[in-house]
Amino acid sequence: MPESQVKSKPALPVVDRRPENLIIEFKDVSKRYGEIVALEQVNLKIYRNEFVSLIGASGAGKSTLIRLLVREEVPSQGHIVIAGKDITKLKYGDLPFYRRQIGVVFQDFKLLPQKTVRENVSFALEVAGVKDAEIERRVPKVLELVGLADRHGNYPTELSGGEKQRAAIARALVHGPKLLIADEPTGNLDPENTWDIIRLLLRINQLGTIVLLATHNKDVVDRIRRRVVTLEGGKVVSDQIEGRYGS
Amino acid sequence: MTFTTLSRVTRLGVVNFWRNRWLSLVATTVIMLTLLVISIFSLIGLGIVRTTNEVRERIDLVVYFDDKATDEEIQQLRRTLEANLEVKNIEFVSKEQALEIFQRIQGVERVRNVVTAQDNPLPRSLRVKPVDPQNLEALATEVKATQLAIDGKIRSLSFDRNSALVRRLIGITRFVTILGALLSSIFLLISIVVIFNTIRLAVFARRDEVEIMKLVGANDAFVKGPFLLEGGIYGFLAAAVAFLLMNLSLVLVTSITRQSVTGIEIPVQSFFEGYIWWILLGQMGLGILVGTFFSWWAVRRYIRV
Repeated sequence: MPESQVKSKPALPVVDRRPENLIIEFKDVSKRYGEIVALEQVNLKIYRNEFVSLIGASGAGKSTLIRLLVREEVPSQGHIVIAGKDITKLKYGDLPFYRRQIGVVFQDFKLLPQKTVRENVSFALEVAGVKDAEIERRVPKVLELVGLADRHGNYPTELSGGEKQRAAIARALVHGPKLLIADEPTGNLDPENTWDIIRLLLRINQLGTIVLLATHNKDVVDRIRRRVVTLEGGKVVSDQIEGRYGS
Repeated sequence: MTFTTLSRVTRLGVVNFWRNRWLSLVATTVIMLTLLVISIFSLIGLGIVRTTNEVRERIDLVVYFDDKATDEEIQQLRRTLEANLEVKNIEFVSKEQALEIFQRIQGVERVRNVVTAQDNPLPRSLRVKPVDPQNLEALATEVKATQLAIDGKIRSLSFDRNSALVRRLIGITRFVTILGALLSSIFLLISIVVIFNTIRLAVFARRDEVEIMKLVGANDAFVKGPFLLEGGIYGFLAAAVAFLLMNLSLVLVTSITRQSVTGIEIPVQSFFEGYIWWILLGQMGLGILVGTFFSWWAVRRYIRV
């Protein structure tokens, strides 16, 4: 993302739901673990520039949906097509390349404890074989974007919860993914930090990245006024373009 | 794997080794102890083989002649014995040579002047080396049956004095060799289990790291590489320390065996010095192999995300 965009305040992205802008598509996706049905016949289309909140009680299937999207698991049935590619058919050896195109943020941050913030962020580029000069160029920018420019030399244990999540977001963003998946990113944060993170996610979305936010937080969902997909018992029970929690 | 990736994997391995230094220390120590014990047992084994050979080499039959026997008679006996296929070689020791040998013996300073070239009671002798020490007894019997012996011109045979000691030495070395091999095997088995578990724990403690690496898009080689390198470093350092400790213990062992009762110096140190680089190479090779192999084995479990 160009630096000028990071600094100036960008306009709200316009979501254009024409077929050529379709980026993520779940087609009749089901996932079963033995007798337990985690997802059932899920159909979902997500378009360029969208910000989608995924809500539902524990066990509704949010985490399963995310695990399928990250290709930690494959659906028992159906297909998931990302940018025209069916990821359920990816070979084991192609997974690293696929994962380098998406960014994932977790409730427990999943930062490497023995690496500094800067190293954690660089790492995502290093594994992709990006040249050092390019890493040098990109990492400071993304740290600046998430507001951690002055904490780059700190280890995760030296950061607050909010800062840890920012570092995780920086790592998820540094390779310029089309899609950022945030799995309960504010689950461990106090309200103030929660809003910092949500504002950051909105900003990232404004810069042109699809954001998929799985959350429990009613307040967040109600205030951001973006698309809300509700899961219940493994099924999509509502999908609202400008939704509210439980409405 | 490109050069960039290779250098990153290398750096990661080294950095991880240092940042997880407690785990590294434990793994290295366990491998080091194993190498040390294996090396020491092997060296003891080799020392025993050497000593046994040395002892066998020294087994001979010495025939001491009375002064009544003429040189011609002695040469006659020598020719007879040389014709025997069981005899490897025969050495004649004259009175003068015997005197020389006597004066070289340490601890006889007080009596050294008792024996002089003019008044020399030391006997002439034939030193008979058998092809196989087992046949010494037969040779002794043969010598005792000669006319010379019957005439009382043979003062004594050394065989009787040595044989008991020789037999005991061979028996002891055989016992120690078997015991050593047995203990080594048991210890080897235990160490394999311990090393594997230590490394597995080291990897287990960092399974999140493996998961995170996979989630940010690292391929298997990138995930495994640093672990393998760390394993290699464990092995390398373990071998280096084991080698130093072994040197140290050898110095101690040698100083003890110098005072060996048998008077036969166990040639462990000279042997060790001759093979020093091979021993180091063997330890390094084994250490690195063990470290990397077990790391590979342990990380394999967590890599399929």
